Amino acid sequence: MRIPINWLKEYVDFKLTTGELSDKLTMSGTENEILSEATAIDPNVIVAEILEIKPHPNADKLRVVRVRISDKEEKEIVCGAANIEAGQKVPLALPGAKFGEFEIEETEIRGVKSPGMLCSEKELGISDHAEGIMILEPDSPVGESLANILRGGKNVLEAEITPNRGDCLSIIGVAREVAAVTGKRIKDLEFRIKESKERAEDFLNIKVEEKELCPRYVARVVKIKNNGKSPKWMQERLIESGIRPISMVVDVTNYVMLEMGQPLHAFDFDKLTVNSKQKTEIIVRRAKDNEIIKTLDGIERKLTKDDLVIADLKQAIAVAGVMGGANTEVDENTKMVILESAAFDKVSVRKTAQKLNLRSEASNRFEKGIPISLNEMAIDRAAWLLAEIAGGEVMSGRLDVLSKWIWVQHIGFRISNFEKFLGERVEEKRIVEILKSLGFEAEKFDIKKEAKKHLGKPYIYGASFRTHGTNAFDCSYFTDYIYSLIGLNIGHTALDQFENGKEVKEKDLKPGDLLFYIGHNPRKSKKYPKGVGHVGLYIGGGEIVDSVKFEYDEKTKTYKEKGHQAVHEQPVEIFMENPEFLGARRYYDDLDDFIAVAVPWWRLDVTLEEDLYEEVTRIYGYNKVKSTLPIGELPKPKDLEKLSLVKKIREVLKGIGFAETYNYSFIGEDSFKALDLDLKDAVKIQNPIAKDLEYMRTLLLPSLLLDIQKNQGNFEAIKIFEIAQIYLSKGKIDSLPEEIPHLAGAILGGESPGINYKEGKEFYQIKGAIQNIAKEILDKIDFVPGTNKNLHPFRSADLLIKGKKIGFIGEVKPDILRKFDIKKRTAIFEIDLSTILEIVGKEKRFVPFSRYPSISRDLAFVIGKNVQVKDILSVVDPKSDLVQNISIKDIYFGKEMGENKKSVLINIIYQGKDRTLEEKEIENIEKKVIENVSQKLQGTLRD
Amino acid sequence: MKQEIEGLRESFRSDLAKAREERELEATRVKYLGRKGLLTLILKKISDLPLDQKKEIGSLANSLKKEITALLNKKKKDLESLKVSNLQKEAIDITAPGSKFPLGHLHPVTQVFDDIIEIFKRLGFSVAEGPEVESDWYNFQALNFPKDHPARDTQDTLFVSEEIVLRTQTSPVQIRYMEENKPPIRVVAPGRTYRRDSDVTHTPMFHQLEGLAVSTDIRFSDLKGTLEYFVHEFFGSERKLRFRPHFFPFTEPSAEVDISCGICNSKGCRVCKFSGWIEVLGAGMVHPQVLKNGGIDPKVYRGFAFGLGIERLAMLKYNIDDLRLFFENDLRFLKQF
Repeated sequence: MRIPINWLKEYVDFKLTTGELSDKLTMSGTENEILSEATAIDPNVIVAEILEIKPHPNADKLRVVRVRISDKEEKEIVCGAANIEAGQKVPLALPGAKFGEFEIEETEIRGVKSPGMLCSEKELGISDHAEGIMILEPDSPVGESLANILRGGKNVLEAEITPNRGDCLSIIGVAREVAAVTGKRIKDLEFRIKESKERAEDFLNIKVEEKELCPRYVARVVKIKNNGKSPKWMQERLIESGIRPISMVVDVTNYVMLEMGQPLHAFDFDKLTVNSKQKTEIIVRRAKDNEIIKTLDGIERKLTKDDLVIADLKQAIAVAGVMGGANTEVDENTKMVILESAAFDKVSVRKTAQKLNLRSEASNRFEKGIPISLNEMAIDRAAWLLAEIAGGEVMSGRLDVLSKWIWVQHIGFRISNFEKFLGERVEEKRIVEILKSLGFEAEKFDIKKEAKKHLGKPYIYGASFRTHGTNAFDCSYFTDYIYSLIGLNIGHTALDQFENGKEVKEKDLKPGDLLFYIGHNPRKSKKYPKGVGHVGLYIGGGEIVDSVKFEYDEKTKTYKEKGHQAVHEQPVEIFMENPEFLGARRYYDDLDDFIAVAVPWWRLDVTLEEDLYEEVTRIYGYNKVKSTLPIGELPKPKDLEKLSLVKKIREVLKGIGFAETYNYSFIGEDSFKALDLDLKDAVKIQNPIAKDLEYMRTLLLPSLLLDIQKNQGNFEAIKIFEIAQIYLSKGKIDSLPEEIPHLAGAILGGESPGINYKEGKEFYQIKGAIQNIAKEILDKIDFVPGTNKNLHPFRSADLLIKGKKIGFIGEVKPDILRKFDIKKRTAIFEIDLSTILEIVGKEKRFVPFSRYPSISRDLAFVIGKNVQVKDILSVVDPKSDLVQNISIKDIYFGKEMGENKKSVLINIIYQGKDRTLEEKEIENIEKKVIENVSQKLQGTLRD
Repeated sequence: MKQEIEGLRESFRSDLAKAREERELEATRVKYLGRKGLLTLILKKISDLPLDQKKEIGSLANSLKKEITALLNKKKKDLESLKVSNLQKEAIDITAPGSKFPLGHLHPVTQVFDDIIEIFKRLGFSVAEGPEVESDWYNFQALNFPKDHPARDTQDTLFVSEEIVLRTQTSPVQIRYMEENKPPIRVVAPGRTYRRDSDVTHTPMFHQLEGLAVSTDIRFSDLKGTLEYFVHEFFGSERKLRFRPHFFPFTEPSAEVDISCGICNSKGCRVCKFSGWIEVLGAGMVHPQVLKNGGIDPKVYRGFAFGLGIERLAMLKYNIDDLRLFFENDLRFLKQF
């Protein structure tokens, strides 16, 4: 929302600089920025007069425009717009003019030099209107800087109005905020409509068929002399606000919308269908399915019965709250208009606007809710303006169909509760002052004073706010009303009120307590079978106020109608001594704590006590409130095991050279197809950003392959990993998918430390990484031949913990690598962390170690090339208590080993649990090992 | 006795010649000059000699002592310089590269999450998580965003179905946590979030950390203090904070929090758009209806909540100027962290 400061000053008189005003508004919740020099019109944009338009020699769609920029100087500019004619004045941006980052330079366009550019309104930042060049007033001085003519820019604030503050989508709304932060008073709008003798109702009837969707529809009929251009001051304000001036009628409706926040619409009376008496009817109804209307922008829109339209006797003439119809659009010949000022249901307008993809200034305001009290003010303002500027005549009478109850929101503000809420005390006086500055009625609650205000008002049985306002009461409406002033709902009937209160002994009576007796014609309940029929409000000093019709007669022991039936004051004894006296009730212990607040009609967002706390705090100043830390009982710490597992794994992988990646959770169908992955498992996004971001990942693997692909050009070796959720669809559209934390990694190239493998280096690196992880998470991971279809069948493994599959590792199949355009062998792993969480050990446990010396011995065997390490280890194992560890120290495939042979260097560590071992014991074991290898594997000890 | 002294001189010289290292040198010193050393014993005996010998023998013995001390010192120095020259022969090029250990890298988002969680743990907060694919109820309605409410415009949503969305914020974890835990509550919830937005300053996926505290006596001032503590820990205690009123449907009152710009020291620069302040988070007192939706009685309990954008914090902390770098996974970026 743009706020021209000069306009703002019409409603509130402040002496702040633009910078100070901007800060004050920002710090009270209206975030804004001053439209800076950059967005103001550059001084190098000047007024040029078109002298001649010639065809472009080399391009059909371009033309060469000869313009005059001073008495002596002419220029030829290349231009593609179709809306220009010789004689017009247009804005010309000379070389050096800047639009944001973009600077105009002298260019050559298809062989013709162009020393500048003719500009559209959008290019100038004046409005969103991008079609065609902006046409200036004929009297604009040639050569003058446009900024000097239009005054835009410097004195305008661009404010971000939060969705709760529809009231601030208006200059007056912002002025109210300014008044609150500066302590100034807001000025009333002063205007007076002179109505003509002709009566609006003779020309127009209004029928609202959908009262829920249109709680109020107000119209006026205005005759105008002509519908030419609006006065300059109005045009300037519209331009400063980012709206294009069009004609008097349209400008007035836009002006009042910007000023007051009420979207208005004008129908050309002569284009509406009339009956035989030259009278027309406006009908607010649902559209018929497939009903078509051509809107003001010239587009035909197909509607359904979910959309609300304004129609005349024949056809739809506007999409309610969204856009008018072309069929009744005002034009230069318009002589009589119907002004519409209505309140439409915000959800309905929003849905229609969204569906038609037609978000307008009007729909934006309706979506946020229009207070129905605004309708009549805004229409009068618009009618008056039209009369003033267009020589109009306002017909007498406002046609007004009101289907909703105009009521006032009352809220009780508890001073001590606010102190507990805020963390410090704000004085009552200050609270009241702040609330009043924002237009709230606020007063320390004095129940006696409130009650006495109504003394003498007549008793009417069944009176309610809706029917009688505060002009008449029955007994329970009176007490209900008094308590409603502080937002307490004590119940509507005497019986409800008796049941809802807390019992009070007569000797403990305080002002505000209610007293009850059975009375005439009482309402009954199970709990009170005799019923509760009358209630009065104790106001202290032995006095009670009640609204009463019947009086108890001692003699006849019956109730008689009183002569004067009204709210009156009487001694409390009258209640207590009534033989049918039921007792007293209390609703709040400390009524003195309350400030009674009434919310102004324009603040639809304020309904709760907390809303008032916000109002007071934001004006008081968030930054004035001191800082504290929470007090009281400390919550029990509750930690996610997953997080500590993830943290451990990250540290391990970081320690061995992996870089962590973060990929989008969604990938494209292509990735699923390139791999052997089933799309049926995947969660599909209905409105993805792009095709390659359409499906939630069911494995992390595809993303890592994409990462490898992107990085392979820059790095010889790549080691990456990611920890993230995967998502498995449960098949049902409206149930949440299963989310499982996964860990995946990938390696391309690189050297495997330790054994110098000639083949499968990538695999062995990954395997080493997994083994390190296993060590850190305290469990053993088994590697069994792989089953994953995306992996090399002879260079992959499944991972098991305690027999349970947790994931897979291996080289990616060569053909898949080709699909991902990965040039070198790549190995990957992917692990389901949730399964690991279920089964791994939680804490490190110390295992006592032997303090006797250990002896390490190496044995080198020459063995057949295809004998697996697993088999070697099982054959080598002498199953002796004295062997502490057996490991493979090296595997060597030298030619000197002979064809199909390899050398395996085995390390055995011997250690006694309770003694130092003797050489002989070790020799015996070693002998057995050598024997086993030679017998079972045909391996020979290498010299 | 004279001879004895001469004999000592001889034997000392041969002992000294034999000493190859400091330890042996020290042994030689002790042998002659120690408390029970050979020369020491002689010096002790001198006082018993007759007066005429006393002077002669005394001066002989003393000069031997001087000689021995001087020779020992010299030899000590010789040994030391020998040691140095021996080591010198072993000189290496210390400017040659060190052994190549693998060096891994954690993503900046991880590092920032870890830092933040650490800070909040010190204030007694626990950590929770919630689903990323979330129901409309938890992501919106329970947080006071009714269907077809304009507040939804601020969060362009990726839909799985009418009722299922990719969560647009970590705030739904507030509701889930309240449903499962009784106050007092102090919890932070880190995680991925998604919006249908993709340009220079928006990525369709980003990260947030949600905070929630609920108890019988939470105050607005506690929210301020907690966030102030966090900002000072994370960015440094010289940073100033500014709380600006704002609107979020699920808090009342709501605030946006700015910190003073660390690049220009609040003087105004491109990063802070010449305002001197940088917006870092949103916060507020939990709306009573939201407490109710989480199964907590707003008449008894109050709470505060806040949400941090992790990438934004990481950009400020590490001086990263392009949001998209976080998810391009270019190792030239990742290896800097």
